Amino acid sequence: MPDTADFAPSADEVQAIAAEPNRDEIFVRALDLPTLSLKQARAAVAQQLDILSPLPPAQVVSSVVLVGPVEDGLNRFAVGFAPRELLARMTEGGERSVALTGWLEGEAIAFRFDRPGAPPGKPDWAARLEAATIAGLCLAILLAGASVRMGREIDRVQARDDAANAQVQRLSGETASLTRIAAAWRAAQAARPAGVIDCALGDLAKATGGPVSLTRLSLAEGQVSAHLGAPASDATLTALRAMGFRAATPPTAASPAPVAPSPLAGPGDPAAAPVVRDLQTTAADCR
Amino acid sequence: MTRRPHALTYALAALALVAVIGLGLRLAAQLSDFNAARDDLADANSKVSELRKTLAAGVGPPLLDAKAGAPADQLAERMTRLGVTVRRAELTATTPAGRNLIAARFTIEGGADAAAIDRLALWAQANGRSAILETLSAAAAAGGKSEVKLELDALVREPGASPS
Repeated sequence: MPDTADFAPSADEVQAIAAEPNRDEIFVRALDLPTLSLKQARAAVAQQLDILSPLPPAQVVSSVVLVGPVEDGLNRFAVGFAPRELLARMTEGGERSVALTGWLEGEAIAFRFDRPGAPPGKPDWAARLEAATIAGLCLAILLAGASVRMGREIDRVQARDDAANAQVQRLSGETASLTRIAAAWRAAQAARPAGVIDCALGDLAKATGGPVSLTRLSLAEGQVSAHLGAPASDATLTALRAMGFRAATPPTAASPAPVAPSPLAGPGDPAAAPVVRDLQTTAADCR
Repeated sequence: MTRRPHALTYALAALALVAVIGLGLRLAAQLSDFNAARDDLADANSKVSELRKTLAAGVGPPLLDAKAGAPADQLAERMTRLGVTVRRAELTATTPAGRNLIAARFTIEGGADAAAIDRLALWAQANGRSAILETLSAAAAAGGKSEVKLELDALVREPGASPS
């Protein structure tokens, strides 16, 4: 590795150097490497900083510039070393980098030095603040995206909610209507038990002690009315009354006995009347 | 020399902080709104399901299915099986009785003996949830049979409804 440090500017440049107070604080070395990559060159400098640097490595900041090819496939890089304190002073106003000129073999080389971080072992609050700001802005962008997405989701759920509520309203109306109809249906069921016919026929057969002739039988409003084909005897009437039947007129030889619940006028034709037998004996609503 | 004053750095940091806090609060509020809306939706859906079930149940189970044929004809067939000789069976009125369900009033005329009338009464009693015997009148006629006229209300499933 050639030791080509050069602090000797030409006589013509003395004036210019004097005008740039920091120039004499830049230390420049030449470094020949078999690569054109600045990244690799910087890595090489970082690895050998303690050898290349005129100051303790913790007190300098380096900058690498490609000068050009030299013999044997090597490329020359100019490595500038600036004191950390100088750079810190120059970046007090918040500058992120500083350009300084150094000299190598009589050629002025412009180096660009990044603002130095905190000295090793000490926290770099500026860098941390910058990183936190970047992270915060990224997080803010993510949150904004999530907020937009959440807004859309809320709108979507709200729309579905509105549709469901409209459906609930419509169905509630239908259900209320159905409830009214169902109540009316149940009331009709309770008031018109069909089993009362079976019960009445059974009771008539029981009361007469056998077959009984009816000329008419009707059911309306839950009540059964029957017209006997022949006058009922007192015993039959008594038995029927005991079973809950009502007779409208007392039995006579001339007129038939109407039973339960309203009287039916006129005698029937016993011959045409159907014969009723005890076909069923149980009916919950029949007394 | 790239220069970014410290004030700008601090301002950016403050802006980022305010943005993060503000957006975080907004997102939290949105999350709360979202959960509330989702709960409301679940409640509404549950209510819809419940109401649909109620409507599907209707007033009661249908006695007849209009899909299987004219309800009056179906009823006449059942009356015949009970021993009633049907001369006329007619659907005279209908009322909605739930989803795809109607309460229909039928008027039937025919002949029946006492046993058939009794069977008819027991059949109507057994199908009490689906049918109501509104009126029945029987007048004795020749041959041991009576002239019968009855009005029966029955629940009928409308055509196109799926059995539930």
